[in-house]
Amino acid sequence: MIRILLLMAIICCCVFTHAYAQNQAPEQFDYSAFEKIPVLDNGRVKPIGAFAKARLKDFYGKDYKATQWLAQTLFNPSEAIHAEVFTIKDDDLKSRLALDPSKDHFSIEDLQPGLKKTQSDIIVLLKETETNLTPQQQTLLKIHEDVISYNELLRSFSLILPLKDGETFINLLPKEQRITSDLKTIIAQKGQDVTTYTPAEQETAIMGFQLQQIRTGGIGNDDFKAIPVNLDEKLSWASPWQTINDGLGSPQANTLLSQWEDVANAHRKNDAQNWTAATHTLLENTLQNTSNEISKTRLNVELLYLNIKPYHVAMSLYALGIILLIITLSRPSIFITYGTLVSLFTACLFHVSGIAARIYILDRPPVGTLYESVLFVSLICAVIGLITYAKSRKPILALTSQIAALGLLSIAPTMLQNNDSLELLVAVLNTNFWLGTHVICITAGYGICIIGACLAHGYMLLRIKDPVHPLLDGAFQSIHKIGLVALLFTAVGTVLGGIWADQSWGRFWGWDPKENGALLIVLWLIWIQHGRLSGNIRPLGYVAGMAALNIVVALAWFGVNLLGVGLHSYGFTSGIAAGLAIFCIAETIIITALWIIIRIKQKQQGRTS
Amino acid sequence: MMKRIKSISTRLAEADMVFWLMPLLIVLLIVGTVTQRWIGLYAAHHTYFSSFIIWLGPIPLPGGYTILGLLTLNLTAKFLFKSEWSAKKSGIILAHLGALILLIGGLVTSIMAEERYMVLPEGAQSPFIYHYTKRNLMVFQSNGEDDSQPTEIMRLPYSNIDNWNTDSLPFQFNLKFSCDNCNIIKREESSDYDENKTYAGMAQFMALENKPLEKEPEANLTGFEFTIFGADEGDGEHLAFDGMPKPIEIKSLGKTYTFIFGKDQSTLPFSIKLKDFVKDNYQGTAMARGYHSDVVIMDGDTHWETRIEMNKPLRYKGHTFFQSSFDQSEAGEVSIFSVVKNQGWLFPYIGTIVLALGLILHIIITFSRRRTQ
Repeated sequence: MIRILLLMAIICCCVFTHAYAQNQAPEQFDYSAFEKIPVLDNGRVKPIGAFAKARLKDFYGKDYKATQWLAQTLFNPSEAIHAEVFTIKDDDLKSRLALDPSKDHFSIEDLQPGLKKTQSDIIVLLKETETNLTPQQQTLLKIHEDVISYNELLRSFSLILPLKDGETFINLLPKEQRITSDLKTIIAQKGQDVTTYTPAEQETAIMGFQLQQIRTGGIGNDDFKAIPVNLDEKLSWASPWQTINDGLGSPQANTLLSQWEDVANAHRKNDAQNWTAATHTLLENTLQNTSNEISKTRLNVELLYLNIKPYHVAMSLYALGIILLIITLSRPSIFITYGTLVSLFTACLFHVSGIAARIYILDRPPVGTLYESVLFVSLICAVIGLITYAKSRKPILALTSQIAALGLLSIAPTMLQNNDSLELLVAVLNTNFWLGTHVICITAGYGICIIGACLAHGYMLLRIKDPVHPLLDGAFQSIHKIGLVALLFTAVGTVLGGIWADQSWGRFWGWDPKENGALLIVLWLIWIQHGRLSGNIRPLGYVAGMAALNIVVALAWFGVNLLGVGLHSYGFTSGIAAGLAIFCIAETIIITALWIIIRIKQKQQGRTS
Repeated sequence: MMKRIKSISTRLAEADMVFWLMPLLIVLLIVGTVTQRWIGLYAAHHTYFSSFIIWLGPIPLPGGYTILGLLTLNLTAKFLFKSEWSAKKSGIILAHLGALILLIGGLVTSIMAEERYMVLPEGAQSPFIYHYTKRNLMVFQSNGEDDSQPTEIMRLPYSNIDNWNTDSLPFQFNLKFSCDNCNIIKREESSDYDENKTYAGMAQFMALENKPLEKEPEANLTGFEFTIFGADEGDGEHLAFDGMPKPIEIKSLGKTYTFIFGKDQSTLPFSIKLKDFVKDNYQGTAMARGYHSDVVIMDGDTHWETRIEMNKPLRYKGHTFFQSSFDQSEAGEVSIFSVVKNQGWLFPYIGTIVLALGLILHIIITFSRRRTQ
């Protein structure tokens, strides 16, 4: 027993140390203020740390030390071009882009020559629809897009970064016209050959060329919107270049730009002390310029959410809880029971905190996207499993529920449409009332169905192991009760969806795939309930029917999105078809096999008795 | 006889009716959903859900109407003859009643609901709404003077194009060709082009040819070609199609006959003026956070302002207006509303409440009974 508890303690320590270590990696600079500076990205104001993570994940596939990477990219572009942040694993593509086949990560400098050669192909590929492209063509397109985006980031602050003699573009701006006209005069007098110029003329030519290059690079550079500007008493956001090119500048914006310059200089000079002071000043001033419309707490919560990774911690603890529950099945012990409860409770706490943080950050109910629905359904499974275990101490329902919770949480990232999991919603979904009623009701229904289905699997397995196991009768009653509650939630959720459709599209029911999917679950539940009532379905068949709910829910939840038709276009997904097919086939085989084995055993017992 | 009716009704009320009907409905639902990927929602809707029989080759299978009709019968029979009216069963009874209300609501809606649309540019006012799929040829007559009001003398539905009766016109109207979904080609490229014929109006430059139907019928470009003969002005080969930019004018016996072909138009008992349409984007993106239209309802002498927005329709005099689409171009902003008249709109609301109450009650009773046991 002591050994088991020690093992538990070690696993817990590992989990927390991992989460802690990620946040406290020793760095020369203190990034705590810098990563909180708000920026507008994809329609939402977020901390720089979140922006950095999303971008680095786009390029590299991982977001480790993203803030440091972004600071380097923004303030030291000449060094950042050597950073190997682009991931290419396809060998054919590597050879096409003349890249080193032994490497998977490349810098923008490595990529530029190869990409230039494929430019003509890109024009053709851009005209094709995404579904007609091969995976390699898709990767090539993505690399081109990533490089454009990275280039834009590299030049975000080119107007305040020092040129020769510490001068910056923005300081030279008043002299720009004069330099350009001087250069024109020199060219008119001496032609294009620089060697014929005097040293002073060469200086002017270099300066003029640099200014022209910087200005060209700044055209359309609007990705990094870090300057709050007030337009018609409405808070808006501009990139540094937009303050000059689009006339969005103001005295406040100029002050902020000069503070950004201080931050850049501190970073370039490796001056940690000035960096800390400059980033703090910049953060405070940026927030002040938003007229306190942006909540500092919200920025902090978002960073904490992204850094702690609460679902990773929850997954580790669910796994620990599952191991302990399996041990309890064969060797019940009060210590293990308490260990399980602590582990599951802590897991649920992290899981709930994650979802609560999302509600706070996005200011809307917890479920609006497919990813969020998976997080929520997983939580429903975990919480119900935990509550029933805390009340009854019977491990079977808790075990099957936690397995479902862990499974769902592990597939959640595959549902993300992009690398920012905190997505905005399309207009029709932008209603807290319906997200808080229909969506919560139907997703809770999915969760309860999955709990019932997993418990039915557990029941069948237990019945094979021991046909007169004392837990069987209680498990059957639980399956029946869960079936009824699942029917309540899915039926009410489905008709509430109809009422929402009536409110937004003018018809209650339109036989749209998503609506039909929800109805399918309701019909399945009604069918097995009435089959059981009329005696057409025997208890074992009823349990198998409940177990098959997993398939029905998977089809209704994810399957219909793959059809790509109907009014619920915001839910369309791709790339999960193979996984879904494997799951449905595997489940069908498992349930059929379990049913056959139980029937064979039943017959054998009948003959023996 | 009564005994026989009662025995049939009792049989109809059995739970195993649901057991046998439900797999049929499940299969129908799956097939009708999956095929939407290839044939579209409209065709799937009509083939599987809004049909009594589906023909699988020579084999007739029950369609959505048949299965849902039988389920309604089953629920009604259970309600009348089988339900055990006791507190213990109150949850079940209520839940079944809720389902019955939803089914009856579905029936009322499928029979009586009418869905149309209204297109309003900013600043414009209109009482007209249009059917999504029905198309008509409308013929107006005026006495030829500029200030005379044209009178509608004929409305011919496209669905009955082969039987159009145009005998009352003072000239001959001969239908040559029609296409449910047309492709517009150059006149010289048409297979029956004859340079000796007189082509009038748009038919001088373009011709129609058949092309496969679109998945959604409102996307079809429907049209037809016809010949006018015996008029004072306008004899020759003509063509008309959905949303044609210019009406066709024929003059005969001092009167002008105007042909307009397009979506079936009807008139509201009031009119709506669009003051402003707003597409509100998330900052720095082209992604919409919401859409709304500020409108003025003009009903006789009464005028008032209101807003129609996503998830917040306007209900007035039996019509419901939904913000369904928009168009933004250099010419200005245009708001498009879905206009629905549905006498059965309250059924789902009542059905949902009754169903939810019934299921909650049943669960409470089941859970407490088992606990007592």
